[in-house]
Amino acid sequence: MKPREKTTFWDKVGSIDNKYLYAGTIAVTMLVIFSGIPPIIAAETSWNIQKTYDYINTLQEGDVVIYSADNNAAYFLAHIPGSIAVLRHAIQKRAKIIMIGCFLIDGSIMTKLIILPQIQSVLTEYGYEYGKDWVMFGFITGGEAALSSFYGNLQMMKTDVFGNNIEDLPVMKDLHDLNDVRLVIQGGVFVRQQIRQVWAAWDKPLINVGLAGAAAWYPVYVQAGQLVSFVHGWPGGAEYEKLLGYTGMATMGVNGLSVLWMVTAVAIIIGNIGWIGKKLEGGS
Amino acid sequence: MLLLDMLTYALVVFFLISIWSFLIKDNVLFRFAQSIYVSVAASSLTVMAISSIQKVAFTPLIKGQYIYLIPIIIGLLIFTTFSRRYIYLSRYPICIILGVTIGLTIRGTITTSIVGQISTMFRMAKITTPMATFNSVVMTIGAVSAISYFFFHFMHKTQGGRIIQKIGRYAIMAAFGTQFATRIMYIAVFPVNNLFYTFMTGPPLGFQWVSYPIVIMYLVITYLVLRRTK
Repeated sequence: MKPREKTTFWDKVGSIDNKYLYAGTIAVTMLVIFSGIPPIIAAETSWNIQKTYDYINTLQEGDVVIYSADNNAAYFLAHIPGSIAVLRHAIQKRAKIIMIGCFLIDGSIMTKLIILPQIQSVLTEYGYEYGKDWVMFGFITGGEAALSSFYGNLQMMKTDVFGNNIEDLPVMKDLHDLNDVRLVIQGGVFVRQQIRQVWAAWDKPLINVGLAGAAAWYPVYVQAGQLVSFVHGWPGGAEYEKLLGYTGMATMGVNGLSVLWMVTAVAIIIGNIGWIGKKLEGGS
Repeated sequence: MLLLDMLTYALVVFFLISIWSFLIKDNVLFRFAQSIYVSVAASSLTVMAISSIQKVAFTPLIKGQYIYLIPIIIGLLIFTTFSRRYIYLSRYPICIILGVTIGLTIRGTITTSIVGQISTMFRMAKITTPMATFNSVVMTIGAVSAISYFFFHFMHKTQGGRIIQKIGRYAIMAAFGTQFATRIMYIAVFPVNNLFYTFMTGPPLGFQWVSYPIVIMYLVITYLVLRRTK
């Protein structure tokens, strides 16, 4: 009879059921979120957030800004705080806002359901009137081709998301194409497509409000001059909220995020140590 | 209105926890939530598409811009896919869509993804501070050796070529490691976002308290199910 293999410590570490890891991670994160610990945000603002902030600070009253929500429900929450902060800043500079959605249908729905209620107070505070200072066109079907058409002819959408005719929207009166727009802000992950249609086709500035991973992916576009700057998910949103001087969703949730990343890193390190330990013992 | 908001929020919490219950075990509530999600996504896409066609095509047509009849007819030709006799007509709209998409993509890709990125790599080579110089050297060597690994297969015949390709392999592995790390980082964000939005913020009227009985109910049901299946 074959002798039973001795179960080592590393075997036990490697055989922990995933559901216990998930449950433990979520429990720790929720504990931190509900604990009421004050948010811990880096003292120094990231270069990309400062660059975004400085650029939006140069907006003048009446400048037209297009906000394109190109995300689905799964990713949307990741860039909401950044989008809200950037839009609040643009509203404080009294820019005209045009909201659209492209590539993924959920973006425009989530803009209406989540972003709009959050910025409503700022719109009211600055006396923004729908149709005169801001407008929402909703989802534009057709992907990059539709986006290209829209940027080439801003009068393409004959009605807005609420059913108003474009002729009844004074903000769209003198807008023909992207030459009449000062800045495009994209909330989503379709950066390459937007760079092609905004920077390459029209040589217009583009700011991306994306996921936390954007901090590693998008500097190359900024260095190439194709992107003005970007806001990287919740950490970026928290830093932007700090610059604007208000406590938003990102600031309140940043502790939970940090803890989750730490727990994930610790789990990966333990996993790697376990693998190395097994290798050293002669296991496979 | 208040009741409707509360009900909406309760449904949000219910579906969120139903989807996450898959982490424990596949169960009927997860499958129910999954089916609801797929059906709602499909139906909302259909509604959005019809609304878009109405806005972009039918509204101007009704206002007298008859030129829009041409793209409407070409678009309708796609439905000839269902006819064995006229299926060849569906190739026209498909070709037009493909041609336009490829044209738009290529127009921008060469400038942005190829020429733009390569010229930036060389422009970024700075010899200012020691750190900037080190970064420039590492970046240039890494980029050139990684590209040579794929393109110059003859290099493995010489000693120097093999060293360059080895450096290229390590550079590629470092890049994949970074990709993996950032992917883990942003994927890990989603549960926090959902937890926070659901249990801390919720709709403006503050229905966070609705979530607690639902969570407790779920925990009780999970405990009873797990106890029964032991």
